Amino acid sequence: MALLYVVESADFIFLQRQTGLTWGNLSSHLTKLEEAGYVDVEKEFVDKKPHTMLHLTDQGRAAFQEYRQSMKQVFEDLPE
Amino acid sequence: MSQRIDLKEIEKRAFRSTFQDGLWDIFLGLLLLNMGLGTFIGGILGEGDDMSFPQLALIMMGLTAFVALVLLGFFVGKKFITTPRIGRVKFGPARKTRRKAVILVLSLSVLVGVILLGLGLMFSIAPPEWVALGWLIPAGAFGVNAVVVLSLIAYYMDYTRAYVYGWFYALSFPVTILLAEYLDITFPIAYVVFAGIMVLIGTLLFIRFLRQYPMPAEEESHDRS
Repeated sequence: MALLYVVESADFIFLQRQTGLTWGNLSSHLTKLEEAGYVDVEKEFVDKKPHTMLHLTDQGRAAFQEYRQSMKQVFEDLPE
Repeated sequence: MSQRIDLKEIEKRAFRSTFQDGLWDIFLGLLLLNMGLGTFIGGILGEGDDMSFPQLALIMMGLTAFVALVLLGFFVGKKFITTPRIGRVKFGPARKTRRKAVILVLSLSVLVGVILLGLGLMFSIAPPEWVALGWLIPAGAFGVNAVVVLSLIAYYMDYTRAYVYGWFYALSFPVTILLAEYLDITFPIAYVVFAGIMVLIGTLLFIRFLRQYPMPAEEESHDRS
């Protein structure tokens, strides 16, 4: 989610390389995010071959921002 | 721990991953080597005023062909070696703005380069008595231009090695002139050494990149759908 938050869009291989997750693991995560409406799939053609790019939806961005805020709150509330 | 800094780091790391193949290093190194070749061949065939037009044209064509070949190799390498291994990514608006800034800087650099080339040709056509050291003027200006341009590229593109490469570019030309003038060394050793270091770094990074990122398996390279 964090990676997709900082870029406009990325393909599956880029996400896999950056996260270090296995194909199956990442695929499973993305399917769940897609079902929740957080990730959108963009079909395009690169050199006449179909290619899939993934990007966060507005709903996904809002959810991630909310998550960041709540995590920040958690850390701030921790005792010294 | 700030979440904001973490996100910046994630974005930077993702962007820097596009430079870890070493192709930029090899490309910049070979361009520098090309400049050295030009100086060397020019030196062998004599000063500009002794050189016939066909000779000069032939050298220019040869050097241009070399640059074209290097450029072609760079784009082919990016397209067929790097991208299939690390995947495709489109960065956000901030990166696009930075990219535009780099294009502007490069365009200005080309303009400065053309002016310096004109100055150099003027020296070649009507060389004053102090011509050898006189070359230090355009050489120095070229050096400043190289340091400024490559430092700005390093800053805007998060490509930190370019700071050092700027100095390699800047020093090659004046060092070659000084070596020729005071030690009678006409071989462009400074170009070869600096370009060699850049190409070597690039090659080592390229080998590491190929080992670290093998071509994805067939099922992984296909769409998820």
